[in-house]
Amino acid sequence: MTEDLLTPDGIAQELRALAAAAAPARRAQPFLAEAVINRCPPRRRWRRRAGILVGGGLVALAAAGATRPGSGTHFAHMEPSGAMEPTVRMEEQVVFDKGLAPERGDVVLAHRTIDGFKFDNLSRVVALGGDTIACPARDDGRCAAIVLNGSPVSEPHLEPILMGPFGPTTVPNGSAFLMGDNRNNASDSRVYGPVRLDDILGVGVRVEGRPIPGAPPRPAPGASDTVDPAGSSSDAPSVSVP
Amino acid sequence: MGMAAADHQEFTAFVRARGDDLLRYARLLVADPGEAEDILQVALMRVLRHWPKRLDAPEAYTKAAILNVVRDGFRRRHLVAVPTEAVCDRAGFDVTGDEALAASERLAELLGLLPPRQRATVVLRVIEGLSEAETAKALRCSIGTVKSNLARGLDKVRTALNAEMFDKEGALR
Repeated sequence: MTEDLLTPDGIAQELRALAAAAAPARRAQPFLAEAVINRCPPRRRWRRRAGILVGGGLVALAAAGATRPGSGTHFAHMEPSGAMEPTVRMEEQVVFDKGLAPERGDVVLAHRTIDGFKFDNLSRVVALGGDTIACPARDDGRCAAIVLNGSPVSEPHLEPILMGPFGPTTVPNGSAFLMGDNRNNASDSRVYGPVRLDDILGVGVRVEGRPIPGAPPRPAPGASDTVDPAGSSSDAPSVSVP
Repeated sequence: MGMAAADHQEFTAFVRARGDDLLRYARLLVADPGEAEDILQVALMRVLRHWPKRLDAPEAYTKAAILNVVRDGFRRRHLVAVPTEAVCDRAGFDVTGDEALAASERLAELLGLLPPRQRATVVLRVIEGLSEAETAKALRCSIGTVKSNLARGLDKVRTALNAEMFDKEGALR
């Protein structure tokens, strides 16, 4: 060791000399190239990209199909009119099942077109294809109860009310005769005639979460869910409320 | 898109011819001999991927690949190898290369004093003989960083040598 070693240049020279002296000793492992080749599989870039593309496309399609608006079994509708009061008040929400066939007493949403203006109309089915419906006038020219196929229909879910007489009318097959529960303030089949069953978008199952009064019992949305049935959590509250 | 057998042959010939030199380069840049071999393999795997493109300077390309792997290691502070006292590892040395072995150990000892970035700077600038600009480009840092890392690295080595000499003088007295 000499004094001039301690300048940066001297140290650099020393390192260079050491590296040069050490260089011939270094040997790479035998068969290094073979090991690298074995560890490096052939690159299948395009095959891989095609796989990713196809797989991603399938996932996207499935996701789009599962979440497409309108693809569910049920839908909801907010009633903008008072034509169904007191069963469905203005601004209340009704949930419909798309898969049910309408029966007498069901509240349904019917798609209608008047003078090219399209809208959805909430109403109750009072008669189906083949039925004869009428509301005969009493002595004072008013009508107290509708008559279906010759026998008066009792409607306990409605307030006793007098309405304008109509009929009798026979409903054609494949159609339904609809009437609003608010008999004196509803535009329904008395005005526009029977509605084809094809134009009925869904059968109401719940109004604001309650069963619909005067309608046949209908399962709530999610009632057939075996894993997490509708209402299972609210039936048994886990926290006691004072 | 598979590689032709001819490509594999060419690659094997290249590694046979230049492998020792490339391993030396990797061992200069990192402290741990095992890590150096790993880095060389990873770099060669990256080179092999691009081999069918007919690289015009395969050795320079491989050295750049090695440096990239080493630079990855800069960012992994928790994986920085800590040099330890090791028994003399004769594997891979010529049986007759005792002098070379001693030089190699001495070099490893001195370079082992430096943290990764300073070490790489000292190796590239001093031992590989790159210019300041080339070193800066290779390490993707500024020339000022190269200058300061080099000065600090050499200073650290100098301090260690100073202390060594002082010890020796003390022992002689």
